[in-house]
Amino acid sequence: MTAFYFGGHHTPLFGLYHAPQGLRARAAAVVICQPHGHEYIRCHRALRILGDLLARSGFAVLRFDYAGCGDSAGDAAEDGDLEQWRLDVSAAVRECRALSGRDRIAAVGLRLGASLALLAAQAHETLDSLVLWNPVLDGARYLDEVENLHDERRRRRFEAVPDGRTSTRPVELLGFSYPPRLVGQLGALDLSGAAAPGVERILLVELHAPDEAVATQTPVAAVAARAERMTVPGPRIWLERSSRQLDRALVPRLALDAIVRWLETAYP
Amino acid sequence: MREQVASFGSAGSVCGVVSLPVTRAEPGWGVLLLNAGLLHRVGPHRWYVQIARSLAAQGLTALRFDFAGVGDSAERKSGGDFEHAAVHDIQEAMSWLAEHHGCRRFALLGMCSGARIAFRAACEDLRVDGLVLINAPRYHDDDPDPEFVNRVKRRHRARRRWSLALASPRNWRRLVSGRAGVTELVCALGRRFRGLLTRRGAVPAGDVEHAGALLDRDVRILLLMSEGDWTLEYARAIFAKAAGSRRRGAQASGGGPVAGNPRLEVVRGGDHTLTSIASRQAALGVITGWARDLVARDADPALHGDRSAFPACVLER
Repeated sequence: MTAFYFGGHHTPLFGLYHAPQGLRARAAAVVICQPHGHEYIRCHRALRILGDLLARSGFAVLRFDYAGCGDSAGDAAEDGDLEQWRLDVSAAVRECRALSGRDRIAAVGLRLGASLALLAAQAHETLDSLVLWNPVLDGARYLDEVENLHDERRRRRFEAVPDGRTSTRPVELLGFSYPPRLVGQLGALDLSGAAAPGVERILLVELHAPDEAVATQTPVAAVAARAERMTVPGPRIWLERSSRQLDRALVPRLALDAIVRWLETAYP
Repeated sequence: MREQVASFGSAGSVCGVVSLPVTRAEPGWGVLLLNAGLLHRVGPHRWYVQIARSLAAQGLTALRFDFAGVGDSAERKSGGDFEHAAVHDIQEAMSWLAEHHGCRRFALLGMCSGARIAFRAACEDLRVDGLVLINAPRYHDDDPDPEFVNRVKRRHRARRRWSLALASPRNWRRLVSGRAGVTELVCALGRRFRGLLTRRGAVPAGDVEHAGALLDRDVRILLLMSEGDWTLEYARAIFAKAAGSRRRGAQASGGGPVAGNPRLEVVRGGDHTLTSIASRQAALGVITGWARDLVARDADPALHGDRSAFPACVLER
């Protein structure tokens, strides 16, 4: 695996390239689009392992951090911007093509990463296939869920939770600052009617814990008609219940294996 | 400030990012930021990125990297004890910084288990001259007396509940309006005090001994402890004992008091990983101030060996 910076000189993006291993070279390369905020932190290990599994299966893989996130330049607390992150997905796709020598690119996105991959496909980024893993389809609902988690944590610390929120100043959620522009963009995000013309294959993956009802978000109407849907038992690893879980990194192996198998079938 | 990928260790197996100052402050401090648990090198809430860039803005070189088997670093093939291997990774990182970026003095910053590993590395490698220990659950001893640890935790909880109960307007309204019964109040007070009446347990001698050895070496130590975390009480107990015996020894030998080290700062409103942005901003201010002192001390030959030049800092007891 090789770490490097790519993209513009002023806002370099951090990337990790997993070179394909073994004798079998797959016909497509994979770009992994990560979640944002606390979900990015919680899911990092799982996506690193996914990259390793895909590389062992013969795929070239690029993981990367959006502008202002992870090890990339900038600070999302000031500059967080969904539109910029969509452009970053496109930059990662171009970089992956250049590194792998593969023209066909499969994008695997988790949570907001899946939303960004779908937005990139909608904006005519040429993607061969999409894996949408528990995608954020309703941005307002996503914000509500994260805010509820944040408030729950504050109550556990005996802090007063204010009534209502204002969208005129940055919002602080589980240790991350969301600038007003990003809050507005997320609040307006609605992928219920999203289509991904030109994408040949789509997989919709939903993780659910065994003691939960299988509750999915509103299906992406246009895409769902063409998508293969898969529900996999496993913990929703992006949910953070405690600040003390530093020595626990949940890896939903069943979901990772299912994604790898699907891609292996798509690109024998 | 600019950042570069750092790749070192066996076959470049260790992955990191180094933040480089535009103008390096002599004598070339390198600060290593160590994984907190299994969180990768960006740290809790991406805080390590902010710390590294702030330190670089002050002229220090900051390296955040992943121990073998954590984050994006490769697994260590040889197996063995994780903490022992992590200390080895730190030693390789210091050598890499010395060779590639001219660093000659080193400080380690760690949170939670990273703080413990930083402490152990400082005990084993004389190149470590500074430590920032954030909410360390323990220091050197593998199995501190559980009675001592439990007492520390109960004492912390009791203090927290007292301060939160007294600060609650709702509780005062209930008391004044008569809705809080006397019996209920006495029972609540009894529960609060119970935490203070358990057996004391033995202060971990190994932790105290090693802390003392670091102080004897004049390793500059910053203990950054969250108000809401039980490790605050633990750090107070260990370092007060270590610093106290050094102070008495210095006085007995006719020397001056050991001033300014270790330094303990309590982060108000902070939980174990400093989730609130305000708590991290406050803590970052302390860290950058401490780093400035490190550089200033090195830059002024008159301060070398003169411990009293540092403002006196009495460790809270």
